[in-house]
Amino acid sequence: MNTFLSRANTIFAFTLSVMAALTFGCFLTTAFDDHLTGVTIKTAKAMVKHVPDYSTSREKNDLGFITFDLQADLNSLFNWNVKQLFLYMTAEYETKSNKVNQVVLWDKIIRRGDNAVIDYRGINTKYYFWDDGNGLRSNSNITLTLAWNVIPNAGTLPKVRGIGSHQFEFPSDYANHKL
Amino acid sequence: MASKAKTDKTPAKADDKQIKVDKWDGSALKNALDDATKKVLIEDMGYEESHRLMDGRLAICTLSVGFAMFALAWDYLHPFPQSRPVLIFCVTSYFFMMGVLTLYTTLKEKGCFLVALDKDKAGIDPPNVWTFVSQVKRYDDQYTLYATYVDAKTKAVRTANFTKSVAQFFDVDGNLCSDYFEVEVRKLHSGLSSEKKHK
Amino acid sequence: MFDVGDFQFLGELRRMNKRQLYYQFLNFGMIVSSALMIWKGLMVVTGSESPIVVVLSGSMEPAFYRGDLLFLTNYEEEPVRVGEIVVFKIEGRDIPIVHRVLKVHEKENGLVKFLTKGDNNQVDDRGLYAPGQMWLNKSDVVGRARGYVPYVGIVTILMNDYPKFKYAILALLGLFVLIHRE
Repeated sequence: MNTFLSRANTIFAFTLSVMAALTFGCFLTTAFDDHLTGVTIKTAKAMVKHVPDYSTSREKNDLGFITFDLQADLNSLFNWNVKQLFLYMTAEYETKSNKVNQVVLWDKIIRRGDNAVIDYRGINTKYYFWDDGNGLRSNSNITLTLAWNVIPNAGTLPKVRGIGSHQFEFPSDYANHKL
Repeated sequence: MASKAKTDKTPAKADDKQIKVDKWDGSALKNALDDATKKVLIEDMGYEESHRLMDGRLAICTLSVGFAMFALAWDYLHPFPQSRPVLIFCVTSYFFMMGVLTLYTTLKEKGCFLVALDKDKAGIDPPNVWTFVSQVKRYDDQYTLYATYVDAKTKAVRTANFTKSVAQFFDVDGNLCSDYFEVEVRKLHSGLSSEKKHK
Repeated sequence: MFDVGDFQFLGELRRMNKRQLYYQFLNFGMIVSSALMIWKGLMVVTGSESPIVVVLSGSMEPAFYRGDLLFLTNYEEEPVRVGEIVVFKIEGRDIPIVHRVLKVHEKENGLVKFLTKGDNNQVDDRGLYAPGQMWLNKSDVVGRARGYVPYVGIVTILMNDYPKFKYAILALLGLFVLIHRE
């Protein structure tokens, strides 16, 4: 402990351990939160087209179009160890060719300090609703859910599905291409 | 002052045996004194050093490093998912060996740095065993040397120790003044030996 | 004559016998081995070939920045689902990519294909995949992000950006352990 280097080294090591302990404590205080809250989802209109998917195989696939309403108050999810929420709305359905299909239609990043009350009416999807084949037409059980991935300052990355979902069906006819 | 002390205490600089350490480094001081003790017992008194304790530790360490190197080589030749069983074996063995090493140093070695054997000249009787343990507390100047003597014939165990400030054995520049230290070690040694003669 | 005074640490080395020198070398080996065994142990526990990764790009901002550290797991029985952050390898690219799953299609027999996108990117990852590759499979996945610690990986990034700095640090540490007597 007589040289500058050995003192600097001791201070540095001590600072690091204190910060590690504080970070771990911060993680522990929020480790058992359930990050749950209610969500309301509704679809206003739903139609399906049969068009070539140029992004993949150029084969004709089903492409769904929906507009939807979304309401949720996410203020209760924020605490001192939540840096941001990554919200994503998923359409989940079953087709003949695939047992599980999940397509994210819309997402949004809410950082701490941003407005955490969501109230959308009649908005369009952010991503195309392509099916992997022709399973959308007259599919009667498509479930929309809103889920969020909690990004902490330090800790685990829980993925939570909001309470409340919405089921809808696509019509049994393909829509006119010009629409 | 410093240069004067130097000329007073240290022998000629040409003496290659002169030991100089950083006097603020506690472990360096301890090592230098341990080495000096060893020199008195082995070189001056002609006892034989027993390396069994050190060899045991070296064997444990070698085996552990062997496990790690084997895991590294195996994982390189058979990339991860296939190497899983071998990795599990090597990792558990390695940490088991680390546990063994901890037990060995705390229960068997107990900080012992020298085991000297006082062999019977005729080679008939088993040797008398001298064991030396030293201790310097962190940021402290007090050096404690414990000696344990086991008489081969009577099985009698005797211990003695002394505690002195390291300042008595080193000059201001950190040169070891072996003469001062040797006197203390010999005193410790003769104390235990003469006790033997009283009986 | 060699002046020991200026090289006190070397003086200590010179006083050592063969056993002590070998132990000095073993000591260095055990530090390396411990790090190695902890890493391999994590691999076994998490099932991922790379259980800890450093974020190297800004494509997941503002969730992850360059230099943040992610802990991964890769258990066979965990299904791949949307919203998850996966680390995957692409043929012909050395560095794994950390992005979020956008679409999943899973067959009855468990065969799964999925598409990813970086939070900070405008489009999905099809442009990043190998030519002609439209989807990722389970075999492309290195792990899924389970834990997050900010900033800690910045040292790795510095070392990658300045290789000379890395070798200097490693050489100094190695030398210190080799010549420093306990």
